[in-house]
Amino acid sequence: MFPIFILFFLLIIISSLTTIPLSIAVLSVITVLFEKSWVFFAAFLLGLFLDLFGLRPLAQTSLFFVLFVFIIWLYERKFETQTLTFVFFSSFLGSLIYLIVFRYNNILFQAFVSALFAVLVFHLIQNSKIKTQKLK
Amino acid sequence: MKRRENFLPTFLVVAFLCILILTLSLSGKLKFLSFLEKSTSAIQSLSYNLLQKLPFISEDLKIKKLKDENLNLLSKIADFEKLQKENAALSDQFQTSYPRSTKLLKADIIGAPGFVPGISQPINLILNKGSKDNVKEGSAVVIKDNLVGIIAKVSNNLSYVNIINNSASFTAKTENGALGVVKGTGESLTLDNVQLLENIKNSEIVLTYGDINSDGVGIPPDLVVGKITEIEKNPSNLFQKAKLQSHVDFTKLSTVFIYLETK
Repeated sequence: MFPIFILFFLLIIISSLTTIPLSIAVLSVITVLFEKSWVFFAAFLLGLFLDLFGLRPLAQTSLFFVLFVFIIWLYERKFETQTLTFVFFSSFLGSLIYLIVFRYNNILFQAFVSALFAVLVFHLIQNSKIKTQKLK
Repeated sequence: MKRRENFLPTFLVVAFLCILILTLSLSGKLKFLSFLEKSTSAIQSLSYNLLQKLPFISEDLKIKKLKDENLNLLSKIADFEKLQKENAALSDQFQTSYPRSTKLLKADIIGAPGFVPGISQPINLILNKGSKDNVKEGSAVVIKDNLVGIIAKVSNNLSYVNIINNSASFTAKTENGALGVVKGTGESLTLDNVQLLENIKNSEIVLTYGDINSDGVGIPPDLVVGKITEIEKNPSNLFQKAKLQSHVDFTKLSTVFIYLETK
């Protein structure tokens, strides 16, 4: 849990600097890997921070994030989602929609970077999970 | 199929919470939470300053010094132009109505949403001054005598600036007095609606014409907008157009000044 907490903290700092929606990438990975209900609360809090940073009405981004996690969860019930392909495309599409909804520029580039970041985080967390399971 | 935790009740609770907070926020009933802005602005300020110190972002001291000198010289040229016009007006027994009681408020930039270093220019800035400091929507944001942007949104402790390159639209004039409308188109800046009869030249400095409302809020006259880099003049068009380049490097800004009421 501690690395996840650090990851969220770093995400908050990075989100105040750039509009690349790395939060979407991390939420996508965490939802897919952990399959726990606390992800909704994490999405809610993360969204609140981003709204405070962006001087937007509070909970606007939270609502988007919560809906995004819910959609992944719906997909997860029917299909296998713990794959690099799913993480890449879910992050890419989620980021693209986020950037369109909140009217940012360079949407394709930013969505692509976000998707690549998601793949990297997914790979790292999955590897560390496998190592921990082997040790047990 | 794997048996998984049922997320539906959690989703419904969190979604309800979101909608509730969003409704309260939109109706302005969460203003008491403005104290949170202070803590988040501290984080933003820290991370923005760290970004400015990154080796590929921060520039050579020599170049920085030269750029500062250049800005100073351009400000002096603008001042000189203003003085010349004032003299002409005085000799004609006219008085200039230039706002003399201008107040400047120093503000630190704590965020630049939409700014991807090396990829895009910042189009908005977040400043650490808000309505508590008497900042109002529509106020001009400057650095030295250069216009940086216009305040678009204000909360208690923070304000949101639209940089002139981003969707700005205001009246401006060239050194020779040709009037036009400056328009920001995202990444670039143009001087549009200049009459064909007017003679505008490359490298000519464009100044604000002045757009202050009855409350004393707005853009004061004679601020430097930028210099003309390219002219588009077609006899079949009603107006001529020019591309402008601001003298301000928006990626390197860390402190700006807000023009408060000029009454």
